[in-house]
Amino acid sequence: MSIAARIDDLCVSFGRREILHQVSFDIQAGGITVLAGRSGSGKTTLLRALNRLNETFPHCRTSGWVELDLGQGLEPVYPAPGAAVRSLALLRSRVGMVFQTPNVLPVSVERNLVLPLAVVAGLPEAECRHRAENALKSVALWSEVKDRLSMNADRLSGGQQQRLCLARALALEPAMLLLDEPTASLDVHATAEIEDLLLQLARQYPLVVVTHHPQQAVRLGDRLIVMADGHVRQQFERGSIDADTLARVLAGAGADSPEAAPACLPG
Amino acid sequence: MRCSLFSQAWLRWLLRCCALVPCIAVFFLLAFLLYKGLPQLGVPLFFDDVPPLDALLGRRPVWDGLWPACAGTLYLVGLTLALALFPGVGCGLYLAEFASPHQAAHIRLVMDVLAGTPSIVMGLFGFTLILFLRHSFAPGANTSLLLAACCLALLILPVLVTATCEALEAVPGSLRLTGTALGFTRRQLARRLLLPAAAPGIWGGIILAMGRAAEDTAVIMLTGVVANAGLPAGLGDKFEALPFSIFYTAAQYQDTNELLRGFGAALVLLLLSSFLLLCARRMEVRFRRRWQGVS
Repeated sequence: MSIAARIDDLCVSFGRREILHQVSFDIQAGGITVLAGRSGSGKTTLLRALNRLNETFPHCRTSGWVELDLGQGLEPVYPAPGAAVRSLALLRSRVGMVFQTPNVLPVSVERNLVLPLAVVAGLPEAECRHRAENALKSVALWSEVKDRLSMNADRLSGGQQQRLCLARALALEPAMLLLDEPTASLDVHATAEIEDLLLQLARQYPLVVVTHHPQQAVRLGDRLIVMADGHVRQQFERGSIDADTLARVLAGAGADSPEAAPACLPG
Repeated sequence: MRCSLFSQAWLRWLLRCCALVPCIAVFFLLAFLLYKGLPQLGVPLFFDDVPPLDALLGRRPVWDGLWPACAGTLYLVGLTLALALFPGVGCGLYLAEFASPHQAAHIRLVMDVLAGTPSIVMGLFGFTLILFLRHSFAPGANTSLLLAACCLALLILPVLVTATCEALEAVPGSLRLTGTALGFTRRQLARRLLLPAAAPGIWGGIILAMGRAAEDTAVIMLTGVVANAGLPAGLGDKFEALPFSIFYTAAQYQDTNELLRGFGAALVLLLLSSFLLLCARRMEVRFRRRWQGVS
């Protein structure tokens, strides 16, 4: 199976605190890779290292090697001698990201999709609307919002907002999707909807999902990567571990350490 | 326990009284102004005995009405905003988004000094500048509409900078992170997300700055306003303005009628400021709806 991302000897620190220590593993192109671990284990920092979002926070230092397949085979993400890298904006537009809390823009439902398409992808308005409609259909939101496209997006329910965020990422036609505890702020029903959606999307995109729920990790993950204290502790394939065992592994994998990711967003 | 409840009730009443003070003050101010000024409102107050259409089109000069002062104030506010808006909002944006902490500290110090400068000093600065120009590069330089607008622009600059900076700093960090994660460049993020999201606060600053430019007398008194100039002929000419008309009438009135006309002028200035405020509010709502795409 082809590889969507290759991480080798990755270290990330903020100021004097090293959050990730020499992390190395590959992410397969097919299916969902779940990063599981307790709070503060470095999951979010690792996820943000893939699209270099850590660099928006002060005093961030990253070393090591990260390669992503953004459509033309594996290519380095971080500048290195002799390595040509894409611009930050281009990289981030090709790597879709969904956060823990639904981060809708304070604009209408339609504009949430059209604005990034117009600004980032530079598409004409008709094309933006067409892509927005397709993206909303692909997250099963179109039928619910097609008559309310000009409504303010923050009036949607939490689950709908999160699906809108997913649609916004998909509209930019990313090469891979990063999801940082995408159901953490949702109820059981909305969580099930999002999980079904992720399983469907996994057929088209490489997905990396962060979670600290063992049940969810087992339900979603084709591959599970257990993290603790900024290290990758163990890796499992689907079917090789159940939720109870994973819960015990997570409980035993390092003591709870302070929150690793900068505190701008929860997680 | 009883003592605590008593002190809470006492504090609530005290705060209620504090809230009442400005309300009562504004009510009496408005009532007094309306009582004195409302009977004066009418065509003669603005145009004297000149037909309004002729006066509005500038066919005949108005020497004894408020129309030239109204037009002068509108020109002055418009020109001042045109001069101060871009540097003010731009400086606020730079301060909030791009400046290093060291640069930000220096700019904030400069803004604090500017904000603390009394308006009469700003007027004196303009007047001295003209004296300097007359004795050096431009012997023909004189106090004028442009000079008054420049000095007023300096006066309102800190208001615009502070309002823009505070409005941008109040934008949630999650919006920055979302835009960055979507692939917005720093410039696109500032222009397409942060500035529009901060627009209500920035418009608030613009409205405050407009009010300040419309009512200030000390600056224009030394930089180009006169009691009788007719409609402003150009940027380099003298002009009339409502706050100066009010000040002049209050200081030089010959009879009660003239004093009452001064009250009329004060009411007109209040109405004009309210009109500008309403226009700015309306523009803000239209702008916000357009950006949000909300119907």
